[in-house]
This record gives sequence, C-alpha cells and structure tokens, in this order.
Amino acid sequence: MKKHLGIAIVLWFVLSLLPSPACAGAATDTLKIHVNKVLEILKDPALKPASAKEVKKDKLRAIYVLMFDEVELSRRALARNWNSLNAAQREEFVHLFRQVLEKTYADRILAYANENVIFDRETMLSDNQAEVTTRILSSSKTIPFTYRMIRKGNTWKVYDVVVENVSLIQNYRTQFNEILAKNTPEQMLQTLRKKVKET
Amino acid sequence: MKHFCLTVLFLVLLAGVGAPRADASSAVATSASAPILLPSAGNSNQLEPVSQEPPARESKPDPGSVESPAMAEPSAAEPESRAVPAGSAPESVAPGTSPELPEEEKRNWHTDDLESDYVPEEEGEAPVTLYDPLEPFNRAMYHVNDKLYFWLLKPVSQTYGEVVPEPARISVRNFFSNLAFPVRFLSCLLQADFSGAVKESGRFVVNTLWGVGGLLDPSSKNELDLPKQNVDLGQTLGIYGLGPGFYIVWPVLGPSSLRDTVDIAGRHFLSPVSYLNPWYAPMTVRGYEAVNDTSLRIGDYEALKGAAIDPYLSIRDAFAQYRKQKIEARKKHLTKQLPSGEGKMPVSVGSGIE
Repeated sequence: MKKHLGIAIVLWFVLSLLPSPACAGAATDTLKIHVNKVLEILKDPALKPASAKEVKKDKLRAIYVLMFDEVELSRRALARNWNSLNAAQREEFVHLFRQVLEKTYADRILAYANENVIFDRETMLSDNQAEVTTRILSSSKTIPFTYRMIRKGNTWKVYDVVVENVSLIQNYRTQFNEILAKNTPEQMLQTLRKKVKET
Repeated sequence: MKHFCLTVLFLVLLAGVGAPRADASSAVATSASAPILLPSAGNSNQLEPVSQEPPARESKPDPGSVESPAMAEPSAAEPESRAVPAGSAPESVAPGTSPELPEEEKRNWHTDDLESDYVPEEEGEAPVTLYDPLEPFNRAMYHVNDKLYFWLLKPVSQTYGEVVPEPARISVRNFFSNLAFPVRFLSCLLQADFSGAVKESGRFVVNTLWGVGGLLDPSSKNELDLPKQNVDLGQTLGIYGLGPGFYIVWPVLGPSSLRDTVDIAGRHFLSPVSYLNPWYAPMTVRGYEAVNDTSLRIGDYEALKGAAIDPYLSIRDAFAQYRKQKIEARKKHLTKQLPSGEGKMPVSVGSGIE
C-alpha cells in the first residue's frame, strides 16, 4: 500500500508540474457551464410569462459578463483602429458595443426554447486560445456555432462567435474599418450612441 | 492493483480540483468557475449576499430581483475582475463596493486590459475582403431587396407560416432540396469527389422512393447517415482557384459575386422547375419556395441587419466569409478523402467525367 501511495504521490506531482494537461477541454468545460445556465433560464417554466422577460434579460446579462471577454471582443472588432482610440473612448466603445449586441441578440436568444446544444470538439488555436465547435439543434434546422475562447490567467472567456461560418468579430471589423476610414473615432462613437438609442 | 488505480484516480482528481498552481490568485478558472458562478449569479437575484445557493434555486424568480438588476451587475462581475481566490469570493466583495460605482457595469474588466493595444496575430484570420467596384449600384439593389423582404416576402411568409404547420414546411423544404440534386451531383463530379457523387445519388434515390418524393429525408437519419453534400457550382469554381471577382447584389436574388453568378445560372439550368410549362410556372414555384424557406427563418435577416452598424457592409462581409469558408471547408474535406500520396485534389477531373 505504501508503495502505491508513493507512486501515486509522484504521479500527482508530475501531473501538477506539467504545463496544464488538466486544461485540455477546459475551455469546453467553462463554456458548458455558461451555456447550461443560459438554457436553464430559457427553459425555466417559472420565467415563461412575458412579464418575466426583463428578469430573464438581467440574468442573461450576468452570464454574458462572465462568459465573454468584452474588452477582447471590442479590441478585435476594431483591430488596428483600437490603437487610435484613447482610454475614455475605448471604455465607451466597450459599453456601446455590448449594448448593440444586447439589443439585437437578447430577444433572439429569448426566442429559443426547445433547442439543444451539442458540444462537438475543442481545438487549441494557440497556447491560450481555443475554438469550441458546437451545434444548436432545433426542430427545423441545425446551426453550427463556434466559440473562440481566450485564457487570461486561468479564466477562459469567449472573444468571438462564428455562426454558420461567419465570424462575428470579423464582420464588425470589416464594418468598422470602412467606417473609420472615412470618419473619426468620435463620429463612429456618435453613430453607435445613436444606434443604441433608437428603438 | 485495484488499490493503486483507486489511489491514482483519487489523487488525479485531487490535483484537478485543488489546482495546485502557483498563481492561486487567478484561480477563478475552469474547475473553480462553477462555485464562483453560482453565488455570483445568486447575488444577482438578491441584495443580501447569500452565497452557495444550489443552482436550481436561483432560476426561480425572486420578488426582490426585479428592482435590483443594476445593483446585481457589479457583484456578478467583481469576483472576475478582482480575481479573488476561489472559494470565499463573492460575499465579501459585493455589497460593500457596488453602490459607490456611478456606472454599475464598469468593473467587468481590468483597466490595464483596456490600455493594452491591439496586436495583430500572425497566423490570424486574414480579413476576407471582397472587391466592390459596383458599390453604388449594389447599395441601391440592397435597398430594393430590403424593401422587397419587409414589404412582400416577410408578410406573406409570416401568414403562410401561421397557416401551415412547421413539419409540413420542413417537408416542402426537403422536397425542393431533393429537387436540386442535379446541381450537387454535378458539383461533386466536377470536384472529382466520386464518393460524394455516389452519396448524392443514393440520397436522391432513397429520398425520392422512401421519402415520398423527397418530402422526407430518411437518408440523413442515423441508420443511413447520408447527409446532403455541401456543394455548389460557385464553390466548385472556387476550388479550381477562381477568385470571387467582385461583389454583385442582384435584385430579388440577393448577394452574389461574379463567380457565384455562374452558380445562379447553373442552378437555373439544372433545376427541373425551370422547364415547367406554362411560362409563369417556374416563377410561381420559385416564389413559393422562397416563401416556404423564409417562413422557416424569419428573424435571421432582421438580426443580421439589426446588429450591423452598416447593414450593407455587414451583409457583404457575411457573404464573403460564408463563401470563403464553404470553399475552404470543401477543400479540406477533399484532401482528407484522398488516400495519402495521391497528390492534390481535382487533378484528374477531366478524365473523371468521361
């Protein structure tokens, strides 16, 4: 028994010293927790009535904040243009960008009810970046949904979503590139402010 | 031996859960994120910080929750940004700090993170750009199509969708998809993907005979597992190395490129619908197909448009990305299929068709 224990302890040390073998699939694990929580909220019968919509939105927002790396999302959407924004503009952009996303997608997500999510596989893009492929199955279709995630410290967060082969961040990057080629950052922020305000 | 296995298993588990890494401060991580998540989400429902709630509970609506979403925000975020050591986190941080923040959501990220510049990644996704010399024309056509959608296609599809139940509409979609078999078959052949061509033929036969003329799709079910080949003629040209040319928005038909216009033409000539009589029959059938398809994905276009800062650019980019991916995915699929050492893919196409 003692010998076994010795081997086990050695093994344990070796395992804990390896770069991070326990992190293989870690991105998927993190993602699963978030996605399951979202599904739980969507399927919760107590939240079914239309009056609970705002409650649901608040809950989803709380998950969103943990699930997505908003700064990374914004930085990548702006790409090189990010560097020409000052700190205050960056901060405002991150806020506005979230509101733009929320305005469009919150209702979309709330419309989901009977969908199932299947986690297919995880590919490491680099040391601290991974891509998790999932599918959303509904009665009429299957939507391929890929999350790109980045690890900062020990936390995995989503920085891009690829739906039906279209990367969200890249789509915004194209738009911001063209917009900022003709406008100043301030004008771009003004456009965003207007977009957030309009109903 | 059994003991050994058990001990190892136990210790491995221990190593996983305990996360004995040096930087315990950032241990919010993977394995520990569950315990963090629960209490923080719990806080979002209640003002007083009750932690360690079972997950089931917090999905019930709390009476107090409606008034306090704003307060909840920072407490949910706090454990993240502060990187509090795992177990004890949220209750100690949340209520004290949050009310002082003027804007509640501000602390979702490190401020240093905001300061770090964008550094392009070397291998990173090369931007998909699509040459657009016709932009003024295309923008005009985009507006025409947009109006066409909102004024005609959408209301008609919505009404149709209310009358016809979803399973029936899915069957209709299957029927038209089955009818488009010639395009996929020819594309597979042109791509020298003979197994794909065989699969497509098999699908066509099975779905036409057992699937009641294509209304059902028994081939895609698990037993046969013959999914539709994701091919088209524009993609085939792309695989041969032909670039997209430039972007064109066709009235009614929508976004396309010079190359993919060949696909539109090919589809037209290869579809049996085009040979219907009288002259207006093909148009009517196509219109019906469009209505049926649209009824199954109302909201997609609205979301795309709503999320966009400039919808025209957004759609153009989505189109460019989608086409590029479709070609690349196919290329990968084709190279994977070839037994190693047979060289590049569509080499022997010419001889293949004979």
